[in-house]
Order: sequence, then structure tokens, then C-alpha cells
Amino acid sequence: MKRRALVAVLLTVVLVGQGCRGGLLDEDEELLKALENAENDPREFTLRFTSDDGDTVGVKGVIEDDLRYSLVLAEGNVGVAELIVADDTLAARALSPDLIPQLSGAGIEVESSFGPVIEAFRSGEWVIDPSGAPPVNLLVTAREGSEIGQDPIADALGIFAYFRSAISLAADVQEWNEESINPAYRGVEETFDKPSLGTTRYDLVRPRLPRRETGQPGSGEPRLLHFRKMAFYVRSGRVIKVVEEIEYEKHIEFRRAEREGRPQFLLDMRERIRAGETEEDIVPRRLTLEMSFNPDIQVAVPQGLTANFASLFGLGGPPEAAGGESVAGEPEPSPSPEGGGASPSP
Amino acid sequence: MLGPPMRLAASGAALVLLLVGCGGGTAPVEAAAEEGGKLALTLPSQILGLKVTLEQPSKGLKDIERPYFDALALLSLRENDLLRASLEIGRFNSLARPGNAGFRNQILNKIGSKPPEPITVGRDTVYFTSGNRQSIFVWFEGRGLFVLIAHQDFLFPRTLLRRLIELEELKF
Repeated sequence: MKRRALVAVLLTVVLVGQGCRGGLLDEDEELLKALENAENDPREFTLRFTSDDGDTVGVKGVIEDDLRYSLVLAEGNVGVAELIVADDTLAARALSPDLIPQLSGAGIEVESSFGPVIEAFRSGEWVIDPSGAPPVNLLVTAREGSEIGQDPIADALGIFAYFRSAISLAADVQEWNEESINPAYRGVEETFDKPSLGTTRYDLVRPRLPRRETGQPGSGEPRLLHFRKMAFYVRSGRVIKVVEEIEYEKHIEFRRAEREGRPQFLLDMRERIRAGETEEDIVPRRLTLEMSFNPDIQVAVPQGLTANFASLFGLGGPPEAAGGESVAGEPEPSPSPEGGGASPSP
Repeated sequence: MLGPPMRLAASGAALVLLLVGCGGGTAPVEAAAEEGGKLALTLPSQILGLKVTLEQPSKGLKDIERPYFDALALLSLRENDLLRASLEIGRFNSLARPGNAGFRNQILNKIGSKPPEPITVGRDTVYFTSGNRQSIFVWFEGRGLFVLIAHQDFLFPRTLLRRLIELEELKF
């Protein structure tokens, strides 16, 4: 009798396991499709980064398509700069020149020939660089998790590539269910909002923490992916909100190790993270992206002073350049697209 | 006899060869006739200030394995005599399945040094990759495959891309 019961339990485990595996593959695909649907549609978004000490950096954006968009950068509630990109053209104005090192004169030396450009920025004028648009590579290249939060423009442009990378690095994708017996995050680790009616939430399941060095160099090293909690909210087939939290103090495996006083490997690992001694920086942060969609969005370039200024801020460069690859130099008379590339603008 | 994957590879290689190996023909774009695998096109003589010229491929089209195209064209876009960009256009034949994602991926994987990544331009999906100091944009439109190669020193590749995508003459 005991043997039959055991067989029944094993069968149940196998069947449930197979059912879960099929379901999880579907959830993974559904999420990627919802991400793609959101990425392809004109939209407005707000992206916020909150560090462990409560500092917030934000980007508000309007996306007509991947080559036409506008971004407003803010620190806390203070607007810093506004950028408009239309194909190859970059337009920018400073909202708080004192917060921009290149304009405030604090910390960064710039070529004296940039003088008129800097004056225009300081007086709040728009400055137009006809060929200063950020590289297309920023859109399609996934940045490392530890790079996120350091360059708000690159983050805003490459955020979908980052999300796809996070999904591919996750142990699994789970549709959130309040009654789940095996949720991705439980107890104090569940810090994300419940989905509202009509919204589905997908959670990324973190890989288990390394238990020990297994012979491969770095196999016992904790990575950001081990501490990345990420929830995607999907409505009408599109992702409308994403929340990521990097957190290690409340990690269930660390709490268990502390409670039981072992394994020492994990307790030591937590100390190394606290001391900043891991190969990859694991710094607590929270990222929130919220999006709304509007097919009528159009982005237009304003009037302003025309000059090649993108290199002043490490922007620009050819489409295939890596971010920040442009070389700073003095501004030149600006060519215009209609002039075929080499003629001075009228 | 080449199997489908090999033929695709040959076809992709042919595209790249055509783009790289363009000569300096001066045939007016408007006069191109659809015969012997050439594609009839009527295009503006200038786009974005660049002179548009239908080029003669350095190799005869008869020599090229191209099982999925019934016509090809190669355009150069020049500023004075300086080549700024090239546009390769292929029209798919009835064997091709350009509406099929797998088929498109097989074509895309033959182009550029890295797999092209999708971006959205207007309502169109354009695939972006890079070559040797070149930006490469690929898009599918109806029965057409378009490969735009812009040289790194050309300052307005994205503007050119959008102009080409919006050209009614390139929709077939």
C-alpha cells in the first residue's frame, strides 16, 4: 500500500513538473511577445531609478519610433535637460545648466570654441546638431546590469534590450498568482504591486545562489542576476509597466543561512557583497518603467542655434558606434541633410 | 545541386558581393529595363542631395546563384563623385516566403558581421547591423528586400533610410 502511494506521489510530481515546464515556456514566449508589442508602438514613458539611499533619477520620454523620440532627464523632481532626436538630428536644451558639469564649469574642461554653444545652453536655448543623434547601437545592445542607472540616456534607449537580456538570464518566467504555492518572491521579498484587474504580472525567477566553487573559475561568484527581482505587467497584449529591484539583504537563501548559521560560504558571500568585494558590483536599486501608448505621437525638432555639439556630451557618432564613442572636439559649421552631407547649412 | 540552406547562403553572399562590387555605371535610373533579371525602377535622380545611379554589377547576374529573387538592382548614392551609400534591391520570386519569420531570419543572418537587430522606423521594422565602418539597414517590403549600406563618414544615414522607406517607387 505504501509502495502504491509512493508511486502515485512520484507520478504526480512528474506530471506536475511536465505541466509546469510546458506552461513556463509559454509564459516566457508570451512575455517576450508583449515586450515586442510595447516596443513597436508609439508611446510615452517614465523611467525612474531609485538608489538605496533614496536618490531618484528619472527620464520622461515620448517615442514616435526608434529614430524619433524626446527625452527629459530629471534628478529628483528637478528637470536637468531635454533632448529631441529625429533621425540624425539631435536637439537639446538645458533645463538646469548648473546641474550639467559641461555647462557649470565644474569638473569638466571643454574646448573654448564651444563657448557660443555653452552660452546658448546656459540661456535655455535649443541647440541643434544635424548629425548628432545617439548611435543606433544604444537601442539594440543590452547593457550589463551593473551599468544600468549610470547613464540615463543610454538606459532609456536600451531598456528593452536590457529587459530581454534579464529574461534570458532568469531561471524562469512565472505568471503571478496570488494562490501560488511556489511564487517567485515570497514574504518580505515580495515588494511588487499586485496586478490590477485585466492586467497579468510575470515575474522573473532568480537562479539559485552559487553554493561553492565547482572548479570553474568564477563559478562560486555571485552576480547581479542572482539578486534581480523583476516583474512585468501586461495589459491588452503589451507590457505597460516593469519594476526591477536589486536587493540582497532580504534574499531568502541569506536569511535561511543566517537562521541556521550555515553554510558559511553563503554568509561569507553576503559579507563580500556588503564590502563591495564581488567581481560585479551588486548595489541595491529600484527601477520602474511605466508606459502608455498613443498612435498619434509625433516628434518634431524645434528651432534653435545650429552647431555640432553632441561630442561635448559624449553623444553622437555613427549609427554603429558604441555609446559614447564620439570624439570630443571643437564645433564645426553644421552640414544639413538636404545639402547632401558636406554643404554648410543656410 | 545546392540544397535550400546552401542556396540561401549563396544568395546572401551574392547580395553582399553586389553591394561591395558595384562599378561606376551611368545608366539613368528611369531607363532601367526589366530584362535578364534586372529590376525596372523609376526613381528620383537625387535623394537627400545624393545622386542616384543604377550600377552595373561587376559580375554578370547570370553568374550569380539567386534562387529566391527574380530581379535585382543595385543603386549608388553619391555626393559629387564620393560614394556615400549603396542600396541593393531584390524582388522575391514565388519560391520565397518573405512573410515567414524563419525565412526572413535566414536571409538576415547572411548580412553583416553581426546578426541584424530589429528597430522600428515609422510602422516598419528595419534590421540594423554593421560592417567594416558601415551601417547596414535591411527591410522587407511586399515582395522586396532592401539593403542600405551607408558609409561611416556619411553624416545622415538615418535620414536617408527614412526617405528610402517612404519612397512610393520602392513599394512593390
